Amino acid sequence: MTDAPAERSPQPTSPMLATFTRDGFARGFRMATPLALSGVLFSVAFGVLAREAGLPLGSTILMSATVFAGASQMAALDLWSAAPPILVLALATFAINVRHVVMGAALRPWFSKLPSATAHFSLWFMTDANWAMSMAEHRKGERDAAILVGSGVALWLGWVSGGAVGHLVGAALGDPRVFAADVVVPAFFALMLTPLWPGLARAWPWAIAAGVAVAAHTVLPGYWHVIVGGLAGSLAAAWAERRTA
Amino acid sequence: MSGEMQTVVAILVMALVTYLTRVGGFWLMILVPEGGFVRRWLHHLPGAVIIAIVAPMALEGGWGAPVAIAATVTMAMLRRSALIALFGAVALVAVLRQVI
Repeated sequence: MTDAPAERSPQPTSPMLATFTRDGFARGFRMATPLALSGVLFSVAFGVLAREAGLPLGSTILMSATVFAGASQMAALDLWSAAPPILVLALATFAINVRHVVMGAALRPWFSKLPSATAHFSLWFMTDANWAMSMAEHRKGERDAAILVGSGVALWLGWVSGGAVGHLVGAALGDPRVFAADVVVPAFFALMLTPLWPGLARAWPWAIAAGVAVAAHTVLPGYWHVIVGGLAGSLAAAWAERRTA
Repeated sequence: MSGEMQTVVAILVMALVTYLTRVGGFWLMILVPEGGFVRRWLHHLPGAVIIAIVAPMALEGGWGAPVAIAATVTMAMLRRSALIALFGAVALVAVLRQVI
């Protein structure tokens, strides 16, 4: 058996079942609710900026509801005009959201066990936070794929309603730093890392991922550092196991 | 194309492009043989991607993010609930910002 990675953590293919239940949806929704609530500050900020960029309320809601990807929507506002440049917007959106490709790849072994339509519906709700949450839960033994949709819907509701509120209320909401809302996101992602911790001896690929991401962040636009760092760390880890297996 | 129409089309194009990035990786993996290397790579991918998201965030904007990260991870390791860990850490930073 040259295939078996020598490690204690559950094997990536160990009972690769996939279910999709109401319970899983509710679990995901509950787990993502705190983040959805704190994320409202970010979505309100988006609504305020969308209004300043000249986007009508209806379009702001349409964009949040259908695109559902904060960073790319913020970037789009910079490019907005009465007649928005469609090709430029498409390219900017792709450059920022292409990190989803890596995340979707990681979901393949789990979500390919679902009916194709269910998988494609679920992926519509995939964003950084609930993807990280679902992968962390999967590593702990979760097999219910509806957890991604439940958490995605919670985030989606906060994102769409916050954007609408921001557009209606406008600025004058104060500095979110007073409530430390700006540290919720890094703290959340750090929390999602804890079940994935491979042990100190196997942590060096994380150092590679972190180092490469930080370096790439200074030179690359958008979220390319996530792809470059993530690929560097994970490929190095997989390569190292191939040599020792 | 009227301005209003172009706005709606632009938004729907953004939505389509974004959805394609969401399903793109899922589709691409059909082409990749699910051998040992790919399985190990996918196993290590989540941790590496999340650390690549977090690391630059931790180094930006002062001490708030690193303190929140350290507090969250510490409380998570002490087996507090995820909710307590997250909000405890955020509250800690909020209080420290008032004090300092």
